[in-house]
Amino acid sequence: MQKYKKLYCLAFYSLIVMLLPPSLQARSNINSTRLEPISVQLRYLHQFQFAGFYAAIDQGYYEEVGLDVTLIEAKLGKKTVDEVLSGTAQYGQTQTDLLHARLQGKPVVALAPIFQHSPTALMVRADSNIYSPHDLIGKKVMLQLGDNAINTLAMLQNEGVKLSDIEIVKQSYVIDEMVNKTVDAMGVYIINRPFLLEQAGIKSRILNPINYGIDFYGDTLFTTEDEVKNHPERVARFLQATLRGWQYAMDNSGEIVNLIINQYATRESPEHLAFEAQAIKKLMLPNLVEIGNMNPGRWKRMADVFVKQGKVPANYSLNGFIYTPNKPWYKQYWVRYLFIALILLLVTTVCFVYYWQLSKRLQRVIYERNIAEENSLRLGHVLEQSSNEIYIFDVNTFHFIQVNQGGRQNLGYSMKELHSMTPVDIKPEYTLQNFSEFISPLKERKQQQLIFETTHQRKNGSYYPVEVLLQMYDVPDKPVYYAIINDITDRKRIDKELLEKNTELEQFIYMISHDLKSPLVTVKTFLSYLVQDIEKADSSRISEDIGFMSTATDKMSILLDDLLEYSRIGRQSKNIQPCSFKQLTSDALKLTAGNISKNNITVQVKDIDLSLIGDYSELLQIWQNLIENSIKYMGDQTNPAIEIGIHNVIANPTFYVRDNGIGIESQYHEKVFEIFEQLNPEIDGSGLGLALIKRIVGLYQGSIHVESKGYGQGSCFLFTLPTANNSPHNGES
Amino acid sequence: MEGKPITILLVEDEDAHAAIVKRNFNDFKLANKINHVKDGQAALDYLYQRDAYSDSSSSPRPELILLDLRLPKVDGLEVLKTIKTDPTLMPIPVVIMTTSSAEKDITQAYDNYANSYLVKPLDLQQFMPMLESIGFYWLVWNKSPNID
Repeated sequence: MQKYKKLYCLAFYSLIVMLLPPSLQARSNINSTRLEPISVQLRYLHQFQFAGFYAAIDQGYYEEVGLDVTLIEAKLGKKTVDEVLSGTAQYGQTQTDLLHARLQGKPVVALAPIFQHSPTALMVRADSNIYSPHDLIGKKVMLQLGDNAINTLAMLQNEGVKLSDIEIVKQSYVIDEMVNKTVDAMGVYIINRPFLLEQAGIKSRILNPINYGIDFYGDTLFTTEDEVKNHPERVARFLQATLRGWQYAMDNSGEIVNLIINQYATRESPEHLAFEAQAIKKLMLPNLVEIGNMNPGRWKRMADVFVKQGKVPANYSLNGFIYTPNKPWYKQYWVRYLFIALILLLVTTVCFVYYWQLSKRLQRVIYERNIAEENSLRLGHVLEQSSNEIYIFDVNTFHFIQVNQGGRQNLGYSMKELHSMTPVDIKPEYTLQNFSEFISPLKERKQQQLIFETTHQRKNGSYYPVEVLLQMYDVPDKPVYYAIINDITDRKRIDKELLEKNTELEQFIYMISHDLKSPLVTVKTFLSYLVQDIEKADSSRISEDIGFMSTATDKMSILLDDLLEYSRIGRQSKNIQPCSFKQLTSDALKLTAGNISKNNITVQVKDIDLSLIGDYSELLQIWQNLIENSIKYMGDQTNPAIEIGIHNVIANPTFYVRDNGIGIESQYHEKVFEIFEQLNPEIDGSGLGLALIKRIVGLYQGSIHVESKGYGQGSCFLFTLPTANNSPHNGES
Repeated sequence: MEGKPITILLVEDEDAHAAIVKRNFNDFKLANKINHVKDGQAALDYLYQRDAYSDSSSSPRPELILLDLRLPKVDGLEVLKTIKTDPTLMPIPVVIMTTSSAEKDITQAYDNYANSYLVKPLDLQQFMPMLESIGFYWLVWNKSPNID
């Protein structure tokens, strides 16, 4: 980009140099010690019409360019053009007669039109009824039919007014003729005559050729071909200084009026000169047109008017008439414009290239930023919607700044509520002080993260265990803490379940080892006794020995069967099928029929049915074991009875098996369901029966308990099987 | 000690095991009387002379308690705790005699002031000398405070 900057500087420097006034460029060349004397022939007496010369002399512009200028007033009978051609003066200022002279072949050269428009026109009284050239027909017009009236004549011609239709009166320039109405119109120089009429108290109206399509240059600065040829430098310097003078005169007309009165034309009144100045300004239009601006096309149109008026032949030539300063090529206007155009083109190109590259780079930056923003936006959405709880809170106040959806949902607080809360508000195990101490290793950058377990409290007051990963987002301007929270309720529950299972297993192994070892001790010991007793031939002891051994082995056998059964529950592949309460109870009674009839037990099954769904052999075992249990603990009841039924069939079916046996004292109501617990050592059993039922019931998400008023009062086992009756078959019967 | 009847309370749910103890003590002629109860509840009832055991002539205060740990109704450890926290029962030596050699059981027994912990041996050749030693140690050599 550095090289572009250099180019801009060069371009702008060049542009500024180009636009500098030529005077500033040229001034240094001038040797001001020796002044060249030259003369200028004026077309009239000193007046504001020649203001540029006075200004240039007074301001020292001529002196600056090495000229000593003498102004020569017009003399009666001497034509300005002739005076210059004869060499009396080198330069002159005159009117349209200059062009006529050239068209007649005289070697004059127009240097610059001072007045962009001709000051000659027709003046009538404002109180007359003459408004247009047409109204002049039959009127007296005072007009000198010379060169300088040519635009006036052309106006009449253009408007179709013939000279024969009006009465031309010889020009006397005497304003009284208008005052006395001896003439109706008068050819005038509009820069001074209207003033004189107005001084006589009469308002004037001007018929100006400009308004009728005849636009002539007015006073024009001129010289001769010889002067241009022999002193091109002097011509250029004179022209430049004169135009500068005119510029000054236009800008400071009051000062120049005083200058004229004091030094040149003491005869004139300041008012008159001021009027002239105003009128001349209108003709020069210094604010609109560059002073001295010359358009070859306009000279040609003026020449054509001369031809039309029959003053000159049509085959005229203006070659050499219009001054073209012999500038070196690099000072030519077209070169300057071309150069400016090139510079502009260069600047534009450089700008374009610069902006093109800038825009390409911007596009790339924007593209990359968009990708990055999109990524971070997506990550934001993922985090916001994550079921993990994510908290962001202030490092100083601990106030929550942001809590994601997962966190808000689990806690039950809105973001607005959380803004005024801190982590301590949801962590009942912490106070602001100990939390602040706890978190300080992060703040002091001693630790990257803190992982800990605690409890969170929801808005509704409930608690849940969490694992917290706490870190600091360490950015220089605004660091924050952020926490990723894992709700570990499930993990805690599984941990607890696992612990329970382990304890159960430990208990199981402990019990097995004891209950298996006990009969083994019996068998081995009594085997030894048996040997001794056989030797002694003690028959009563022998039968006692064998009896103990037999009981022990029976016990072992039952225990092993029950163990097998117990371990099978929930492990073997299940055969889930619909089964009915009626079917299950009737099958259970068939399996226990022998003991029932042996003990003369009356069995009553409530006439009710319920569809269940589950593993048939598992469900059957519940009723079978409970019936066997009842039979075993019937005691010495004389009218033993068992009742089987269902309470609360529709809402929450509760099955029951009731007997009128020995019952269970209240302190043992829970213990009976423990594994290997036997209340009565007299009765055969492994202590697994009820534990087994409890396990099956548990598989169906149910519960079992016993109701008994105590010893001898009978027992009632009640249980539920929610998942077994949670089926579409429910309530069918 | 002479002429005074010695009573041992045997708390054992296993009839066969009780028979072994009784046979051995009978063989050694050491005890005048072995009172056998089959569960923890019965043991406590006996010691507090409740219900069936209210007659102090048939259910006298024992000089030694042989206590199994695995018992129906009230667990052996519970019985031990009750005895050793009751100042009147505390002096009675309690020998734990069980099949379990689990470290947990041994620790818990001594934590609750069991006087001794014995594991029932599988072999009669070991069981007999063990019971003989118990008898001599606790009933002959050991001196307990005289409560009566």
